[in-house]
Amino acid sequence: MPHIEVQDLNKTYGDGEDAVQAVRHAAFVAEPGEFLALVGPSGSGKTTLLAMLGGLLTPTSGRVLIGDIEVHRLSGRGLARFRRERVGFVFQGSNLIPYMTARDNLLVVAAISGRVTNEARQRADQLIEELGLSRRARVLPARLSGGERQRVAIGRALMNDPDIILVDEPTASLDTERGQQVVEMLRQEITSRGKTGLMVTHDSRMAAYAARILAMRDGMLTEQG
Amino acid sequence: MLALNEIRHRTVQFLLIVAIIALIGYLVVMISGLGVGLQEQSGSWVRELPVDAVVYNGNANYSLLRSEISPQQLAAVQAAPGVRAVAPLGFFSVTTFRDDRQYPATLIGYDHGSLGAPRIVEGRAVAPEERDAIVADRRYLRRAGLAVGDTVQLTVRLETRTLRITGAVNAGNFFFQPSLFTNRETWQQLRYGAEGANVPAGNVVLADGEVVPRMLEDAVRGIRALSPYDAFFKIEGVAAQQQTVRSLQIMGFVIGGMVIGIFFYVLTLQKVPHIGILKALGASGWFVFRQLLLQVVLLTLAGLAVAIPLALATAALIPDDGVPVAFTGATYGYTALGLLLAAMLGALFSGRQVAKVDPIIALGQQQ
Ligand SMILES: Nc1ncnc2c1ncn2[C@@H]1O[C@H](COP(=O)(O)OP(=O)(O)OP(=O)(O)O)[C@@H](O)[C@H]1O
Ligand SMILES: [Mg+2]
Repeated sequence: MPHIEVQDLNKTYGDGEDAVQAVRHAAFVAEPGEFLALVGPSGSGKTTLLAMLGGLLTPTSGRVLIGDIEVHRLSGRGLARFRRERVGFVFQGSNLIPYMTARDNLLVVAAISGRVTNEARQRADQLIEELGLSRRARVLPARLSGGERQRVAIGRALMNDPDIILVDEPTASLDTERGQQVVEMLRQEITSRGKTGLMVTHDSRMAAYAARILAMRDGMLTEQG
Repeated sequence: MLALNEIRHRTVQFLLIVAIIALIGYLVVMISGLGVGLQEQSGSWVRELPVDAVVYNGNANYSLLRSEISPQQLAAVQAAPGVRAVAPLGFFSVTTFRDDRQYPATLIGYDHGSLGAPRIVEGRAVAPEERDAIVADRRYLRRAGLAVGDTVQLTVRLETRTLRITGAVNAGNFFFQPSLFTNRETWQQLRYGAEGANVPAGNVVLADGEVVPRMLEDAVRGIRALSPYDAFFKIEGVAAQQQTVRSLQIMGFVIGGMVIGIFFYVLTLQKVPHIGILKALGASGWFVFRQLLLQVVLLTLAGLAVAIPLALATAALIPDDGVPVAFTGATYGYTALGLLLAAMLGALFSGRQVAKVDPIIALGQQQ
């Protein structure tokens, strides 16, 4: 079963004369272990599509299937639970909780799901080590470099062992070299763990790390290459 | 985990709110202590009397001081069904003096050994046939610098009498004055200038056995009866006084709840971006609100932990005859519970705010 299946997906903001059709008739399928890039000019609807895949936004029409879940049918609590159990997010500019150490930012995910178990602690420590953050685990985000913060964010996205990982402009605040390191790390984690990753980016150099590239223009989705 | 982490991170802000809660808590604890102190001063021992009923003259509007019980009424109460024991109780507000120093007191005609009479802690009781002898409250003796065996004087009906102090008791105050106890006959002599069947036996009668105040009223004509608890609140001014204290307490709670509510509301507004992230990660509004409630409870308890010792210290500094404050376990319990409840209600303001945060904002923000 594919991890992501999108069918004739539409999103219109507002109504009447002010209506903006941010996503039109989008459709694609992505299998486990695939890492996709989503490119396109500003305002083309990339974030809107990502939000609908991650259960942050309800489509106007169409279908979003993540594994066996019909995300377009969910609302409120159902969506929160879907995000908690199936989705890992890496946001633009990392968005860590500022008053928690790197390690605690990972453990938040466990706390949200109920309890911080010993298993969760082990998982967090293991991820921190894999991401090369062992020596920075007890440091607050403000003391971390941009690249380190994004690595923590990747760790957080993997904490709940999700099916899909959604990434929005992960390198916006990084220089090219660090950006490439972060994206390479992402790609490795996603493909080696059999997740499905979708990364929005403006930067064609970053998109090059993905096996498939989806392009958006005025809400229309096409696959490149 | 989140709640504690944040407290550690925002130490200054949270210490500030703990200080404010401590001040409000201090105020409320002091007011509660004042309430208890006022009750003690007014004669809260009436409430604790181990009897079934306090019996008044039917025309006295439940006034302990204005009621007068005739010897016939006393006999009728004693003969009423269910009554096993009675004790007449008479009050007389007096000014005692010794040399040129004056000490106001309430002289209580209350036969030793009768129902619920205070236990002698020093010296001996006033004997039935003895005249012009009294047992004095310890606090009265301490304040007047008197001891068992001394005498005090008092002037009634233009005649100065000398009273011997035969013993001491630990009785509370009555009408903000210390209590002196004597036998029924001495009380009658001092108050009415005569003793025996032609003067009242007391202001009220205490009755015990299997007595229900209502049934006693039906059994004996011309009387009214109350439980000791109700009798206490019928003492002139006690109900009004307790209502005043309660209103002050409630105002304290309301102000406390509002201050805490506003503090957390502002904090929540500042945290909207973080709340968005938590919700995007799948946290429910309830999860976020629970962290906030935990903080509210912890900070309120911390504030109380400062306020209560502070109030105790203040009470210890207040002199014996100063503002009446007294604390009981219940004072702290109610105050702590009231403030906690008010704080949690205050936190509900923020609950709405938390619920309104849309997780999609996590995608739009740049750290
Ligand atoms: N909440 C909203 N209400 C109304 N219009 C919106 C809203 N969010 C986005 N839009 C509009 O929808 C279109 C697509 O926006 P979206 O944010 O998905 O683009 P994007 O490709 O992510 O752009 P960027 O590269 O600048 O992040 C834009 O025209 C935008 O103005
Ligand atoms: Mg965008």
